[in-house]
Order: sequence, then structure tokens, then C-alpha cells
Amino acid sequence: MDMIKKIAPRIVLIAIIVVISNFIYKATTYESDLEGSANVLGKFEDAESQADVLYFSSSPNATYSDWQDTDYRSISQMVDDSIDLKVMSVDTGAIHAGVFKHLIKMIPSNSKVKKVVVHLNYRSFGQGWIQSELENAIQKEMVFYNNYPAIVNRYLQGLNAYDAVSSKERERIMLESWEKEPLPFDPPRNTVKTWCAVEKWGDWTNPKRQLADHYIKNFAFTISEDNQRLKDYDEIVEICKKKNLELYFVILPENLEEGEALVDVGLIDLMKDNKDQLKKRYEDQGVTVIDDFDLLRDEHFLERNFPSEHYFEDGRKEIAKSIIKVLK
Amino acid sequence: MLFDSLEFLLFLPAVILLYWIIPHKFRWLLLLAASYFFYGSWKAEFLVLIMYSTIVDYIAAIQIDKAVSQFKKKAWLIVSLCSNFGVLFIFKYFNFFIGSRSFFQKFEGAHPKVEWLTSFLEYGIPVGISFYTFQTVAYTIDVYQGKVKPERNIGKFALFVSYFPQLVAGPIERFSKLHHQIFKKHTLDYDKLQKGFRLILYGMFIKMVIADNIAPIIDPVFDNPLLYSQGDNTISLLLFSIQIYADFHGYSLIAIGVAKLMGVNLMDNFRTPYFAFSIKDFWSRWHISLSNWFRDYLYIPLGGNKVSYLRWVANILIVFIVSGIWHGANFTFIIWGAIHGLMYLSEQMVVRAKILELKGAFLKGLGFIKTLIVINLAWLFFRSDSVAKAYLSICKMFGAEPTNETYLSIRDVEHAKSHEAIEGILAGGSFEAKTLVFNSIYLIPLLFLIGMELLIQQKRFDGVVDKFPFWLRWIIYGLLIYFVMAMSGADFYQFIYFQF
Repeated sequence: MDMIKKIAPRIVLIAIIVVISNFIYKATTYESDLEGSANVLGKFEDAESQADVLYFSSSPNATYSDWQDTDYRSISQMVDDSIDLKVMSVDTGAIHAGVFKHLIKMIPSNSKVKKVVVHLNYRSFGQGWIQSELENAIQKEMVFYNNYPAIVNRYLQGLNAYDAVSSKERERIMLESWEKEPLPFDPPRNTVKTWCAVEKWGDWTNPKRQLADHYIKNFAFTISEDNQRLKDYDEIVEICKKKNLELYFVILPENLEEGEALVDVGLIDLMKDNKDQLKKRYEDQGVTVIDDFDLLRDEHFLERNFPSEHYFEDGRKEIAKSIIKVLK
Repeated sequence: MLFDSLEFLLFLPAVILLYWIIPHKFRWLLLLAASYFFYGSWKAEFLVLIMYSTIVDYIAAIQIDKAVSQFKKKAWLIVSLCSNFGVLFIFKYFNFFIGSRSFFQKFEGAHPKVEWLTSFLEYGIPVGISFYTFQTVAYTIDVYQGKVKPERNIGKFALFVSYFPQLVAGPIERFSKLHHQIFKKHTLDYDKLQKGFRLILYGMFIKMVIADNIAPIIDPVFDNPLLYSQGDNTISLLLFSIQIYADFHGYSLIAIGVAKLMGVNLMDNFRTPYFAFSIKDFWSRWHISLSNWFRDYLYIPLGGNKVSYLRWVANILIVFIVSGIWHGANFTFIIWGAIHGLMYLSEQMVVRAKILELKGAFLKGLGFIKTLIVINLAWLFFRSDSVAKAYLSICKMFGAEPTNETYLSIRDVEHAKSHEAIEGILAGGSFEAKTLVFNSIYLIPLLFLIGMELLIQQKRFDGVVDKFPFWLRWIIYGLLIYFVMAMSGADFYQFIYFQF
């Protein structure tokens, strides 16, 4: 009893300190912490309060060419300009469905948002992306999406209460999957590692060889049930069902022409099989899937030294058209 | 499970609560289960190693005690030493001596069975292996020397080896001091809890706020010193000396605080070491439990100072170099140990020859500055991945131009990994210079730390704040809570000493 008498007032004092700390934190470094590690949260809060349609994407939405494009609008802006509904994007570079699901969870039940469009990036299902160097930063950022007071979220970051894996360990997991995960081909194309070793374009100094390797590493995989990205998209479906939100997945175009020229048609067939599997999975769950996977030609793609989903103006317009057609 | 993790924040209250609720006779079983859970949370496979050490030393100690002949006693001691140091050698030093795992990779094609060896070596150094190995080695030596009686209950001995507060990073405790405290019937009192929590809070502050915020600032500089200016290289080194102190001292304080919550007093591991006036003074304040271990189990058995002058010089150098090797299998640690050894000897020579005595504020001030400079320069080798990189940092700090030839010859001698960016710059390639970036708001907790350390001197945080009035104590707690909650380093950095 004596102990409780001593401890209880001190617990109250600590609680008061935490409350005051939260107040000071929000008034001082909170904004700069958000800018540094969770800038998409600000975009979300802004968009959620105004939009009818929330548009979740990473860099493909807004990346443009400042030397070739004349229309710099993002895909979501093009959609917004063409339909009666207010479409606002929640995007920033390198984020993925793992982030989107946390944000969608935060849409309040009384929100005016009724439709949710989510980019489905095929490449994000591969280990090259899942174990990317940026993943720790993204995981860290997501701590701020917890529904706790700001200072508690900040403390959780300090405690590394996120999927914090050292970059060395991430690299190990990625290399192991490239070495051991079986692909549905005969050797040497039965693993990423052995496939990359096939010297179609000579040695490493040849840029085409390097790019071909990137294609194999980024697009040659099978999608199992324990694929983290698959789980993320599954969760998005569940959350939207619970929140009664209309969900649209946009399967982003990949540069299949270049992939075929650099590697072979086998890679493209594998990619299409995986994509079909994803499309069927989510259509069966009632999601409207906009399949733009082979919508664009090589000339629509911006990057020439790495496979990406960044498009020139014409490419963005094509994707926007496909979305407008469905949303109208 | 790191002390500064959410998992530990849930684990600790559960263990402490259960500890004080259950009857005394079951407490050691709870602690054993908790300690194994704690250690297994890194990798369950590591438990096999700690069990192996436990079983070998349990048997060896009993056999040493039972043996009548000196020969038998010695034989069992050798079994224990070989087994402990053998495990340490395989997991920590094997790669170093064979020149890395690529040694085996050469044979993979011709001898496929070699593959298991390469994957075995990829397993990594088991967390805290150097700490618990040294603790158990001390135990068998103490039993051999008749200083302690062996523990007959293997479960209780297992708890002594694996006691979670100090298992992975010390302090390295002696059986005679720790064992009876763990099994003593403690009663719950407010003072223990208060002091324990104070130490945990202050430990978290210096580990999470100071150390974890410095790491991301300076890591890129040590990765490629050539990209940064003379000033940035120098500041990074100074920051590293703060980082390593805060990292290790913070962790030790949390360990001491956690044990205190259960009534156990662990030894102090640090006493404001950067205020030392000499290298000898530094080693009586830095990682005290390790310094004591080397004194008692290496320096004294080698003859200590009761030998010829030259032999004593050799003994000192051996102790410091072995201390360097204890930290890791790398030439950088050997040089770090050697610098300390040579400076220690030079100081002692001056003292022995009665040339100079550190009396008076001025001379003490000079001694303090000299010691700080030496310690910092030695840290450069400790922090650098290779001697070749340390060479680059030194050149940058002293305004000299590093040469490709010297860099490559050092790199080849030590078999260090090549670093494409560095080698490209040294070969005349262009590069984009970078500058050290840090948020000046973090100077506030840093100044707070310096202020506290000046107050603490050779005492300890819990004892110092005890003398403060209630209101001042709570202002300090309030600041610490704010710093820990709002300003902890948010990036993922493991505790530096885990690799040792």
C-alpha cells in the first residue's frame, strides 16, 4: 500500500510530462519530422478532406519529361480534369501498397471519399523492390500513420518499432531469392542468378547486358501467397470492403517491347502470366481492375538505363484515358 | 531484442512484474526462461552455443573442484579454455585468419561439400559471444584457483551465464559477485525501483538520443573520407568518440538499471572516461569490467609488473593488443590496442623516471588534452573499416594528399575489400564533394549530456540526482522523457558493441 502511495502520483506526473511533451513536440519539431520522413501524410490529409476520389500512386503518376513533354500534368490531374468527380492524388516516390493500405485505413467513415484508385505496379511484387534500400525509410515513415498522439508515434520510430532490417540483411534476402527461387523454365533460366549469367550481350561493360540484367532481376519472379506485396493489396481490398469504398486497381504498363528485345519472349510470357494471375485474383474479389499492362509502346517510356514506370506525356494520357473510361 | 526496442519495452515490465509476484523459489526459473527467450529472440540457433558453453563449463568446474591431482585440475581447465576460446575463434576470428570466406569459395566447384562451411561462416557472429565467453572463462579460472566453489545446479549455472540484463554487452561480472545476488531473496522496495528506472531513463537518453542521432551523420564520412573536407573529417571523428561512449555507456546503464529493478547491483562500466588525465586513468574509467578482466586473467598471470622491465613492457603490449583483438578480427583493432599500449608505456616511463608528475591544474589540463587527442586518434582506427581507409581519413584531417599507391599497398597487405568509389577518386576520377549535414536542434541534448557528465564526474547519474531537490529532479526527468520520446534517432542502428 505504501508503495502504491509513492508510485501512483509519480505515474500521474509522468503522464502530465508526456502530455506537455506532446504539445511542445507538435509546436516545434513535428512538422519538420513529417517533412523529413512522412511527407505523404500531409498530402493524404489535404486530399482526403476535399476529394471524391483518392488516387494512390508512387512516382509513375507525376513523373514527366521536361525536355519533351508540353503537358506536365500528372495522370490523376488528367483524370480530374475530365470527370465531374474531384480526383486528388496521394503520391510520392518509391512508396507502394504497404503504405497505401495504412493511408486507406485512415479514411474516416464520414469522409466524402467514395472511390479509391490504386496503382498496381507489377515490379513492386519482386524481391528487388520488396528488399529495396528505401524500404527501411518507408517502414519508418509508416509509424507516423498510427492513430496515436504525435509524440508516441515519434517515440515508436526511435524504438525502431517498424520492420527494420539492416541493409546487409535485405541484400542477403534479395540475393538468396535470386539464387534459389525457382522460375518455370529450364536451366539456365530456372533462377534469376543463372539467367543473368547467360551472356547474350557480352560482358558487364556492355550497357545492354546491364539493362538486360535489370530486366531479369526486376521482372522474373513468381508470386507466391506469402509475397508481401500480395498481402498488402489483399489488405487494401479488405479495408475498402469494410469502409464501403469502390476500389479500382490500375495495372501499370511495363516496357514489354524492350524487355523482349533485351532478354527474350519467355520473360514477357512470365510477366503476363503473373499479371493475369493478379488480375483474376482481384476481379474475383470484386475489384475493378484496369489492365494497362501492355498499353504502351517502347517510345512512351522515359528511362533508358533502368526499367521503370515513368512515362512521357502521351503515355500518361493513354493511362488517364483508360481510367476515365471506367470512372465516368 | 535490443534494450531500446518496443519488444523490450513490453518484455521488461512483464518480467519484472512476474518476478516480484511469484514466490522466491521460482524466481530463478522465471529469469532463466526470460534470459533464454531474450537471447533466442536474435536467432534461436544461438541458444545452442550458449548451452554448449554452459554445459562444458558446468562439467569442467565440477571436475576441477573434484580432482585431487593438480594435473587433472589443469587438464579440465584446459578443456574449458579450449572449448570457450575455440568457439570464439571459429565464430569471430576464423574469417580473419583464412582471409575471408572467399578462401572456401575457391574450392566450391571442385569440392561441393565445402559449401556447408561457407554457409556456416555466413552465419555471423553470435550476439554477445565475447561477453559471456569471458564471463564463463573467469568462472572456471576462479574455480581452478579455489576462489569460488562450483555451482552444482546446472539450471542455476545456466542462469549465471545467461542473466539477460548483462548477457549481450556486459558488464562482464564475476561469479563471486553476481551469483549470490541473483539467487538472494530480495524484497521489493521503492528505492530499488526508483534507482533502476532513473538509470534506464538516462541510459536510453544517451543511447537513443545521442548515439543514434550521430550514427547517420558520420557513417557516410567514414565510408568515403575523400568526399569530405578536412573539417568534416575532424568533426566526424570527434562525433564518433561521443557516439561510441554514448552507445556503450547508455547500454551499460540500462543493463545496470534493469538488474537494479530486481535488486541486483551490477558493477559500473564507465566513469566519465573522457575526463581522464592519462591513458592509465582512461582505462580505469572505460569499459571497467573488461579492463579488470584483462588485469586479473591476463596481465597478472603473465607476471604483471613483478617481472623484468622488458618483460613488463611486453606484458603491457600483449594486454592492449589482445584487448584490441577482443573487439574484432581486424588490423584496425590491433592498431587501436597498440596505440593505447604504446601511449600507456610512454606515460609510465615518464612517471617511473620521475620526469613529470601530473600535479596542479595546468599540468592536469595538459594531460587531459593530450589524452583526449590520443584517444580520438586511436578511435579513428577503431571506427574505420580498414587501415587503408584510416590512412585516407588521417591524410584528410591533416591536410595531406593521399596517394593511390600507398592506399593500395596498405589495402593489399591487410586484404581489405576494394571500394570502387574511393579507388576511382584516387585514380584521378571526378567526384562530387559532400558536406556534413546535421540539425542544430540536436545540440540541445548534446549540451545537456555534457552538463550532466560534468556534474556526474566519477559518480553515477542515480546517485547524483538523488541529492537534488524534488522539483529539480523532476525537471531533469521531464527533459529526459522529452528528449527520448521526441528526439531519438529514428534510423535502424544496432548497438556497436554487439559485433564484439
